Amino acid sequence: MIINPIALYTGGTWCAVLFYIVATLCNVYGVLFRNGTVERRSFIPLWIGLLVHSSVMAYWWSVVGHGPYMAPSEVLTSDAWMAVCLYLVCLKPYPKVRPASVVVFPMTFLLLALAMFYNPGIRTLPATFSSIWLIIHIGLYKIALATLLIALAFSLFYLLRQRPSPAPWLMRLPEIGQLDVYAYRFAGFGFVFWTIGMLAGSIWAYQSWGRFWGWDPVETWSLVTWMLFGIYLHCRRFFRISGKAAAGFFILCFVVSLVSLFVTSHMNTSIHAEYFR
Amino acid sequence: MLQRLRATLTSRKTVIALLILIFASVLVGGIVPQRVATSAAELAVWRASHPRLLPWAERLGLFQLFSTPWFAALLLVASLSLALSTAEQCRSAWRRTFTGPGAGGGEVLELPAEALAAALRKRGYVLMSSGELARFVRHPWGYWGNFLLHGGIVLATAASLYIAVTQQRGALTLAEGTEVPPQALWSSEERGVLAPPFRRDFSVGLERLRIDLGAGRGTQQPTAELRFADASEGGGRRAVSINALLKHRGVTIYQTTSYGDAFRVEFTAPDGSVHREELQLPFPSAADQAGYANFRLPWLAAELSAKYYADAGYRTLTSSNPLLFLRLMEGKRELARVSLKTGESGTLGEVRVRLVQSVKWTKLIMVRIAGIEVIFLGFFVICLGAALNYFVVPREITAEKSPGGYRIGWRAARFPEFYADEYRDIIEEVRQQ
Repeated sequence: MIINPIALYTGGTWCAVLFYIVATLCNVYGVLFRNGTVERRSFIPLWIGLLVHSSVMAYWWSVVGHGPYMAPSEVLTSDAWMAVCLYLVCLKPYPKVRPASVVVFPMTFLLLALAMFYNPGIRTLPATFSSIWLIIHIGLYKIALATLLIALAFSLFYLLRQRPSPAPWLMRLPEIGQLDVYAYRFAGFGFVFWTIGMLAGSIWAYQSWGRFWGWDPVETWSLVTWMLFGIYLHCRRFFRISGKAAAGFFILCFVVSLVSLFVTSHMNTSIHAEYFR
Repeated sequence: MLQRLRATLTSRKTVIALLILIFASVLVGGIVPQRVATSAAELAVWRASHPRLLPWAERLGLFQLFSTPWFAALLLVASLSLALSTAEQCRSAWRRTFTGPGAGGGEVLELPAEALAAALRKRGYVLMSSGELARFVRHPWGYWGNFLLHGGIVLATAASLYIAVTQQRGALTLAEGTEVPPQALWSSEERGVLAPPFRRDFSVGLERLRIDLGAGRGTQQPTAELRFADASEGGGRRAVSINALLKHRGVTIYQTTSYGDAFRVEFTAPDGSVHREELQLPFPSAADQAGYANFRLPWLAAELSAKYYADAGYRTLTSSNPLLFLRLMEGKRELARVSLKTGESGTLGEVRVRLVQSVKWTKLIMVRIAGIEVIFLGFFVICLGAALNYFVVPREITAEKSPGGYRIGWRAARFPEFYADEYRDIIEEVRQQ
């Protein structure tokens, strides 16, 4: 029997999406209705989903012969994978990150489902992509996005919790000061990964095209985002901005980072656009 | 006066104002198309669709924002502020690492000194000073994060500015079997304002362009086999391919993604004049797909539109029997067309056409820059500083003998709320002993 690789890839991905949806429903129910057992068990479908997701990515890698960074479907799939992996990795050293699941889980399945709306056709890998700096460049941006997602969760929690009469489930989260500091801390982590990713991209550009910076729209927007995060971190440190203002500022930074990662790479004037078409 | 200037440049308000100004400028540069990265046609479209903004854009130089004098001045002030702040951060890091805070503050606890020291050592705290006031620090090198992060930015910015004004870049298009002498002009050239015209002191020829098709996955890796005339000085035959650059007599040579087949075509016009043209077309991505290019020839009124398949039988990309299609176009209207294999003749409207030969061609970029190593060193220092700043946050515990036990002071350089549990755990552990 001949198996169509695209059908297998699509079917496997939808299967992972289903597991993530089940994990999200259980998790959100567990957190919102303070049912610890359901919340804990939500990690079972999450791990199964991750296993299926990882297998599908590995299979597709073997089919197309390159990592998940060419077609939009590959990019979104690997972003979702990184978001869930980073969250699970952070649970051990930072157990208070656990409630961020109510943002990370749905974002994972939404990213993955969105990936399925793009044609997952087999793309040619440009010769310029055969560089270790590319792996570092793209990998670190993915880690940065996953880290910022956790910071987003804590910023949202803060905004919900500081209202006059917050919902009862919010009272089970870490105390409000901790929510603020976790958002700050993970924004800092995201900034580090964004910085290294951007500089690795610059080295890659020099290796491939002989210039380390060309004011390409993707480069420019990446710098815009980096500077905005720089302003955010300076404001927090110098001017002790915290709480509601900091949470709002971070959400703006997060939106700009999404524009940099997903919108500017499709601009026709960008050298990156030829890879994402 | 100097002290006041220094204080102004390093004040928090100045720093944040400069950051916001640079951010706003880069944002505008991200929205308004830049000449350096946009084609003339796309720029014209933007101009036509933003008539109200156009006078402002022209006046402020927004189409080449990053090379305007006001942006350079802004960068200069920011760099000065950053350099002064970095020097201050260096002094601060030294002070914090080796001197630390004085005694005072904290809580008086009855703790066994030995047990406290053992618990701190177990958690990675290093004894930085002993005596009346014992000082333990976890990750003391974390104090240097800020200095390294900002110092790296100063280094990379200074090197970038130096490269921007001194770099020389030129592009050469070569067909197989041709050689370009040192005095030949570049097909395009750009250089910094302080750089002299870019002259090669060697001739270079393309012996062969090899295109490796990565194991049927559609990947194309072009490799240009070059011949340098100055064999006595490391010349001779050398190869360059994408991501495998070549250095020759202080010039770095890059293989670009522009390559394909060059068709040498002989045209005989109705008046009997003969025109020999070389049509360079991009290499197709697959055997059943074509490479396209349009040409404006000075002796021909209509536009010449060309496409080719690597193999006349559409079976392989490695064939030596390509199939060329030529069309005469007037706007979108096709006037005439002809298809040719090597050695064949045909007519294109009233023009007789003969495909004499096809060879491979490629575009190379040659760059002469100094200081790129400093930029990469700056990048490394930035990464190191950012990682130290956010991943290894220093925490300090001081213990001073006082009536009733030890006065214990604790502080974290950053995110104290984040590490408060660590301090409580240590004290709890020592108490239980």
